[in-house]
Amino acid sequence: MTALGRQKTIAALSEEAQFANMTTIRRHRPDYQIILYMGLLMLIGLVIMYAIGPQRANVLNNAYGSNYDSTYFFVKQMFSLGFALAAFAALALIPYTLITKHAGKLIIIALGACALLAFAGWTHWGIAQQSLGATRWFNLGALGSLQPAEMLKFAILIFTAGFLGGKVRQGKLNDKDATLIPLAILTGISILFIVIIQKDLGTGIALVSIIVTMLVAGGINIKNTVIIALLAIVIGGLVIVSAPHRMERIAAFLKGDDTSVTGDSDSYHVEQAKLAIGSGGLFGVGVGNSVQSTGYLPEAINDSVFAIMGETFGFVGLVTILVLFVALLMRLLKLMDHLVDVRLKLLVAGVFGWFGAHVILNVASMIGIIPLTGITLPLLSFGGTSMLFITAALGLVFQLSHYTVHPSRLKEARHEDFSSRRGIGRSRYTGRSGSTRA
Amino acid sequence: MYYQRTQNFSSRRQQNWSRNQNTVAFVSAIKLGPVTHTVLVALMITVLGLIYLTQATRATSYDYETQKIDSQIAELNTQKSDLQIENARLTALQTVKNSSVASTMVAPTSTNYVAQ
Amino acid sequence: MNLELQKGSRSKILAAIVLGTMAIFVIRLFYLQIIQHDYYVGLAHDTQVKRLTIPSKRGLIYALDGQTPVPLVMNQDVYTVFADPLIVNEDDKIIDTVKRIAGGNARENLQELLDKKNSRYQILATRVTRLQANKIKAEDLSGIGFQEVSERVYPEGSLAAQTLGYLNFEGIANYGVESKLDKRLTGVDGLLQSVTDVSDVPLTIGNDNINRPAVNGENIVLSIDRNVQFHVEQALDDGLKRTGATRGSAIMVDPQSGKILAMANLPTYSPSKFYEVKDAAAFNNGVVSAPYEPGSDVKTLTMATGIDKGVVTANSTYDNKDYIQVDDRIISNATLGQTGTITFQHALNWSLNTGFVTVAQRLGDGKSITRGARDIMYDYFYNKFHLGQLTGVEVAGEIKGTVISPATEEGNAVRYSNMAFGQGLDVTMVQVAAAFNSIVNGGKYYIPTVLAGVVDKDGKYIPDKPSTPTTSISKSAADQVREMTHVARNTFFSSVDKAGYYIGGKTGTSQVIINGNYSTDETVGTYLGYGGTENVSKYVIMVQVSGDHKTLQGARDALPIFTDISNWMLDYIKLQPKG
Repeated sequence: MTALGRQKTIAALSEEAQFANMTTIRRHRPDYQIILYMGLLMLIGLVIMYAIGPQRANVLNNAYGSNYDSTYFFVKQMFSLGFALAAFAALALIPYTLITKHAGKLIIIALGACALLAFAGWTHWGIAQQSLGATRWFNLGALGSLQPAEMLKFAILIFTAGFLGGKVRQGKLNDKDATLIPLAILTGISILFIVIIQKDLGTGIALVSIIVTMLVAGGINIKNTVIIALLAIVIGGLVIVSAPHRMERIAAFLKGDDTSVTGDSDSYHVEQAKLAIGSGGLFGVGVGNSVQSTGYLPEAINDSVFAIMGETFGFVGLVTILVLFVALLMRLLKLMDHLVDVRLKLLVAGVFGWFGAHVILNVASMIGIIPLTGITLPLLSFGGTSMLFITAALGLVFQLSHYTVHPSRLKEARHEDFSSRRGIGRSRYTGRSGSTRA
Repeated sequence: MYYQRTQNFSSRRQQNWSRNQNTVAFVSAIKLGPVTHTVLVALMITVLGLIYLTQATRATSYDYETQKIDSQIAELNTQKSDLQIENARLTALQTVKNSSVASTMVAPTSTNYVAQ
Repeated sequence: MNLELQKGSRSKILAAIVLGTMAIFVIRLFYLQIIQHDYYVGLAHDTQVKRLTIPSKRGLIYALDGQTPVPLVMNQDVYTVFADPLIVNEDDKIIDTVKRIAGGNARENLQELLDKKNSRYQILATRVTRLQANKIKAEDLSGIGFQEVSERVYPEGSLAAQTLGYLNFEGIANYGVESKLDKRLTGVDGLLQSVTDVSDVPLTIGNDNINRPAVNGENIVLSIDRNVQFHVEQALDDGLKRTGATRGSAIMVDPQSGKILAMANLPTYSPSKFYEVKDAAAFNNGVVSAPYEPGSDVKTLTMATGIDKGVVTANSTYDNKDYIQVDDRIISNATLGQTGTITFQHALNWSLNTGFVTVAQRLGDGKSITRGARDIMYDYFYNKFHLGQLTGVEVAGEIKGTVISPATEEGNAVRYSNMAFGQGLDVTMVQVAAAFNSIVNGGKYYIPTVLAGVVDKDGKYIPDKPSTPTTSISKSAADQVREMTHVARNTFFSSVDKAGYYIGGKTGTSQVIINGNYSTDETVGTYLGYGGTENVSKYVIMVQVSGDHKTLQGARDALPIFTDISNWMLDYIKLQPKG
């Protein structure tokens, strides 16, 4: 059955049947491997945080005179983990239809929060926390800090999944006026907030990659892909050129040889990261013996945590972590292929894009393949908001994994009713094709 | 009087047991599913791991205390040597000779000894 | 894992992208971590491991005050204030602050130095104390740094300056005990090599950390008594003013142990300001570094040789004709008119050269100074009294002098006749004092030493073991000569001494050789004496005064200085007089 034929078949299902998949697809055991990989990654992050938390506290105490306790970062990470797991559970238990139905409102709230932050930063209101020349965080006092850009990513994820899913069903994905222009407008507004006002290029790239992955999974054609790629390069180039510190990063990246370590302050970060990874060797120096985290490597607990893990766990450890990430991503892909509703497929594709973009960009910049982007590593970095929203997205995906369908169903779509397994699978004498033999 | 069952037992009579084997085994009244089992085992491993972690990384926290104490010792040593130099200056012969106490002294005109 | 990705779906493309990128990462990681591992470990070592030398402290030098050590030379940390002209941006404020706080220690041309923008290091002020450095630090000026330097301080000012010596700007010891005992005073630097964090705090991570503490130098206690030294310098200074001499030296030795209680030279200098000295002669310790012809002081040694050999006694007589002929030379007395048959005691009293040439003759065959006589004299002077040899006293610059052996052509009768009354040989004051020491204490020659012990790092004073003497002459000979010098002094100078004590000595007026000839307008005046009770001598003092083109005499010029010191010393050691 061709792709077009399949689309038509699904389109033939009534709106009710498509929308209320929860009743028509038999709910089954979810994909626990998602929890397994996520849990393992969180544990590794916790171990690292325990080992380098005291060093980080000392570095901050010496530099800024603050008074961090040595277990402060570990405890804070545990609290973040707790909140993240609660969000995971919440989104795994609340019916997903509730969320997809209110996607539009979610976008408006998120955009409003970004606007509020921009306003607060502009008027120097106390609730906004300014660091490194840009206002990216809400300072909620005892509750910690909140980054509205992450909320925006989550909202865009859900909204675009619904929007593009509808367009795919109508067959109008590649249509410029119906799909691409509105999408571009939405993307443009978000980029304006994130990249231009908050000066956070890394988050911007992650957002764009969510949308692009959704387009790719939805079936965009080559011509549009090329147009989108060119557009991205042009806009990306403009954005980079307009900010001097980004130009410095590019210059440092182009200037430095692969393995040289000069004393230049621009390339200091990458050099120290490569030093950390390189000095790990095969098995690493052991937990607690990391020297780079005592102040040589900047941002050791959030952006550069991959390098610290390289130093602590070595090649074996890093490959294990990469394998865990890849395993999680592959489970998402499998899930994407076994869902019926295109909108849900695109949702899972969006989460895949989010997760994958973060991992690829962070690891690549740490080992010196691309210039620094300032993007965090999901689940391992120290940062409450980012972990919260990624686990929330994973929780949503976990819930969706209750409603997968056997692949033979998707191929032939013989039965409209997906609530039974009739005809699927084998009996002792008939094989995969099941009852067709008869 | 109604005798209430206090413990649960399961019988394994169906399986082939040879003579003199206990075929009745204790079965717990509380049954946990596989998920809970997995979670509990994971938690136990986590706790063991944390214990190992805390013990293995204990030494690194002493670095900064050591540094503080070392710098205190150095500070006190320099103070001590400064005081010693001050002391030597104050008890030097020139200082004593020119001091106000010495100026009120007179040289003895004669000294007499007592025969021992 | 079995993914069952659908054919024709885009998920395969996405999977391919992710797996491809991960493969690239793994390859790159392999490259970084396995292939380049050693390179990065070396690099990490370079950046993370800091090597810090822990400087050792130079040993302190103490003098004695009775039996307690008091410090003469101590260490103080001072600071050098430097600036980085490239970073500095508040020139006026900096100049004003430095001039105000550092005062005279600041350099003159501060603005010029700050204008040298391409040098990164310009010294603004040196030898700034810690309080001053803290005040400058409190001003929080950018581009200013401090470097800690340890320097020697002298709480007692210029006391015993030549004996102590000084350290020059490079830290090299010059002169005195500082130079001679440099090895004992210098410690061994320690080493701290450790993995550190960014702010140089050492960490316990790593297996190769070294923490070797520094070993400080030994703290040396000199046998010099602070109060005696002070008074000796004072007496010498008064004497020079009185006599018009320009140079003076004095040494006091303890006859019972050979320890030097005072060693003074004038002109002197202040070791903390050694760079202000114009005439380098002030650095020289004349007591050990200025050999001279000792003159009549040595007559006591000739007498001791004669008595010990049994050829003369104090009351033996000879015929004094006011001159005597040896080979082809005529030797005359300085004081004429004591002709006739006189005792050797008389000859000693009047310091008559002829008497002592006679002693030398009597050591031979009675008429001439035979080879045998010369051998005897050389044996006593060189081997027993250790003249013409280095004594080994622990100050730098000791010169051994010259005593000519009779085996050489120059060691003929004429020379030895001169040597009998103190000319024709070059010796230093310390050699003469040590030799006379052995006469005064009953014939035991102690090697003169300036050291009394050490102070260990807990501050406890550990005295040296007493040294064992060698025998120079028999006790009876020594006592006889001692008695002779006592009589010699009493004959003319008994009224100046305190009553009830046993004091004696010998004057000396030596001629000086200038350009190969004996000068006619310059003489050196010396007095060599001792004091104590009749049974035990407590101190030996030797005083020398001289000056260019000045004729200074032992009795007139050097003896009053001796008396001054001697009388004071009797009170200082609280010696009980007789009767």
